[in-house]
Amino acid sequence: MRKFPPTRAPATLLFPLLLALAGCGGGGSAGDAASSGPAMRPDSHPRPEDALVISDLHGRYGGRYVSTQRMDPKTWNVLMANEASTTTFTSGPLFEGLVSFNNYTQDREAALADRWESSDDGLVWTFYLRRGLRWSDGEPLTADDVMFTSEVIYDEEIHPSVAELAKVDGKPFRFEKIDDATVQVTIAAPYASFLNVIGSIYIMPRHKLEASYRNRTFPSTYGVDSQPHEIVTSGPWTVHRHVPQEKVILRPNPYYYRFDESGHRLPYLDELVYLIVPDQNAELLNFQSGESDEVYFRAEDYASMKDGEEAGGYTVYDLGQEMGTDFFWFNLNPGKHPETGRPYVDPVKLAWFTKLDFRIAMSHAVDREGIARNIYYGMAEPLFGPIPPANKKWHSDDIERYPYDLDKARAALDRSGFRDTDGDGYREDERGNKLSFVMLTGADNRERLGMCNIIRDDLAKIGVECVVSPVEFNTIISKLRSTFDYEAMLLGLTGGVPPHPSQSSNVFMSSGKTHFWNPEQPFPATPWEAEIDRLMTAQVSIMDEAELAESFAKVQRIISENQPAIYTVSRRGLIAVRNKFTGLRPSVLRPWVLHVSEQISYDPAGAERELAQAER
Amino acid sequence: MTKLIAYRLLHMIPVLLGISFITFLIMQLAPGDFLSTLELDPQISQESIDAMRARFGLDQHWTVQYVLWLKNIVFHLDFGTSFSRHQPVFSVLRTGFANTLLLGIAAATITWVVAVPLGIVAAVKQYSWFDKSSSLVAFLGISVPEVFLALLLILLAAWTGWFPIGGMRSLNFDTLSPMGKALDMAHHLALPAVVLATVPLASRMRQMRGNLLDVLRADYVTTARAKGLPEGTVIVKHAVRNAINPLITLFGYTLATLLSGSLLVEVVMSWPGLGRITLEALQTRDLYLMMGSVMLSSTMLILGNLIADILLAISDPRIKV
Repeated sequence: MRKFPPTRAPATLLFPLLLALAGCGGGGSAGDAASSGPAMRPDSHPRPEDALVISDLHGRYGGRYVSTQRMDPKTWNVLMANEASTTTFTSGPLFEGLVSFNNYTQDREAALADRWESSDDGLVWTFYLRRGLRWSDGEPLTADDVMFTSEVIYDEEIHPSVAELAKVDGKPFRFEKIDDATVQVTIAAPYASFLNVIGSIYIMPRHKLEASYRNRTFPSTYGVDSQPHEIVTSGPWTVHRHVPQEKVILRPNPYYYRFDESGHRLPYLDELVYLIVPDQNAELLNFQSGESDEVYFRAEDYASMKDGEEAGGYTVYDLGQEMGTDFFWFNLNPGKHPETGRPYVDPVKLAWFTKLDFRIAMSHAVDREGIARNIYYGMAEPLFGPIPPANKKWHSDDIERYPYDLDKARAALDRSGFRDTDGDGYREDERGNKLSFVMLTGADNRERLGMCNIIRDDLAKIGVECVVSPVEFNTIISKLRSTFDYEAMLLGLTGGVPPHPSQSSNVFMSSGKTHFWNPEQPFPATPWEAEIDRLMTAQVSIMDEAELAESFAKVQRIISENQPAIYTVSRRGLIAVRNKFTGLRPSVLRPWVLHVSEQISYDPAGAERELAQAER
Repeated sequence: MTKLIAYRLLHMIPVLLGISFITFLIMQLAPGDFLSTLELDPQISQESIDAMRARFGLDQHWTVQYVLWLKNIVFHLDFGTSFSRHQPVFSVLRTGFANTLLLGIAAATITWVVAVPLGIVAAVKQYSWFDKSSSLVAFLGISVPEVFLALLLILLAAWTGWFPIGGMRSLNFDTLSPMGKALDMAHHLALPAVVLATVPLASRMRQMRGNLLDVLRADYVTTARAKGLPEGTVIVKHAVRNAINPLITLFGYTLATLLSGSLLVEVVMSWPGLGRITLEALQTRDLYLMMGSVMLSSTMLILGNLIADILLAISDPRIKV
């Protein structure tokens, strides 16, 4: 935080004339008003019988952590939230589920429920809530709240996005209250991602929301225009203040159930602040000038950020490869437009695209190292399969790779009969059609556009013309979801949290809506797509994680062999955090650092010791 | 005069209707709608999206949506609900509106308070070093793009620490005294207001200078000088009073553009204004939020023009409105 000396203030009002004078006020004096507070915070509320104690955690109370994000949260109602600037707050910091996911270990953890068990057939699950849990207003959090939440998620009119996940064979889970602290969930068939789905059902306070649910105003309740004290939460934080387009201030939930080893109730910090900064450059400057404490930044800023570490009192964390993937594919949709009767893809080109050797040649022609070097300043790794290594539990290394090799690419094209017969430098097919296609990508993404250009140049070298056409994102969506009239496209997907094979089913299954190259097929068009369908369908009921990983590895292998999508690189995540905090567990999964916001402590001395140790 | 104002106000209705219809049409012609971005999310099923589309009424033909929107305004004064925020449109726009107005007024104040005196001095001392250097600065001001200037000033703020990097209030704003709060806002307001003021400042100054030069050559100025009036009286009472007429029209237009001119500056300097809300609404196809914002700006524009005409009529008795 910046205090400004009174001598400087009048000068600002006359800025245009007195620019030189303004300097008389002296340089910025960045001081921390909320300095390291007392080790104790008065805590008059009873400790829950089943408190969660986090071992080996010794923080101090006090301080403030300032983060930035691009857009405002849109609602505090976690069931109505479906974009990242909202879920940053609602999923985790404000609301918790029965179980949660640890971004750092990529494993499941207990949350509101401290233990659970399942019947031998995996159909009946019993969750035991922690005894003594309370909402942030002091009301008890019980099985009734879970029952209320389950009623809301299956409401036909509200239809939150979690509703479709929380079904097996189209049948909703059956929730039953056993007693105040016990809930039983029965499912129609074994369901591999069951606990993940349970973890993404955030429990809502019945005593606050039932009235609005009954009178059908649920979607607009808990809106960002509500009085902050009305927003009763179960997570580590409560909403203290929200100034639209400026900032959100969170303060500790006085009834939170997590404690450190010495019995101090978490969170440690007095305040968690999110500044709303719409521009990426300004976000970086905000950090550099000391106004924010963390910034997630682009590879192109790596050198300057690294250089400023000592002077700025921060550390740059290389989070490793990210979960997101960038890839391109050819439209393999053999269908016709239902009204005009015109084929979606020119049959001549469809014949090229469906040839495996053509797609292999394309993959051989992608200079992944060059993309990593030129677009990501070295902060990316070549990617050959659909699941990047960052996905610790589900990534398989046993995949087919077609690395950059223009000779092999030429050979593959020769094999499929594409030769330059008229001597114009471009190859033709048997009927003399020049090998040329248009690749679409989002106009607003500089990095993907750069990737397309590198690919185009390399394809020209092997005699294939690729015309890059940047288009508006909504055009891409309508082409993918309704008109299907394009030839090739380069896009990216961000990984979901928590990662699980079931999350890919809409991409890999031939019936999926994001099976990009040929979506929503009534029957799989090729034998390998049929095989993937079979594996993915079987996976739904594989409960053993090792067995599931093995089956999922087969899917990754089939995708890599058949190259329906040609993967390019996976970038490395970079974040800088100021050195005055302890308890950081930077993770490549969003929100990188604040997933353990309750454990972060403002402790400059402690942080210095930790850093010194790490250096040794 | 009253009759004319009433007539102009009535005239607003068809104009606003036309604007709303065209905006609505354009929003429909662009591909996709508010839910399109969700369509590519592998985690969200088509069923959820269809249910949402039905809840927002986006599954109906756009003419039906438009008529419904108009009907709600006419009968219930209800401008619709923002899809993303589940809130009435004007409760979303309210704070942004106030902030943008504040920024616009600050910029306009800088523009006029600086431009008019500078223009007068430059005209009176034509071809002096002051005139030449102010011309140079004016041309620079006109030719530097707003975004670039905004980025430059942010860099300056980052290097020197004299000014905050964007935003409108400090984090500890709530703990400040009322005086401290005002100073804090002024401190945050300085850079965006300067950026926004630069271009109009330069051109207003040139206009003031040009007008005054014309007037100074007029016969009645020579007459005034000849009858022995002090030079100060000649310039202030006779010349400036006449030279400022065209600028008053321009001042009216300044009022009209208070809301619409600051989008770039708001984004670059994180000013929590109407422009940012509008841009976000446009990008996410938050239809009714977009419509509300357009209607608000259009109303301001029309009212601003009306005020400009009235001001002109008051200042110059020769003009009849």
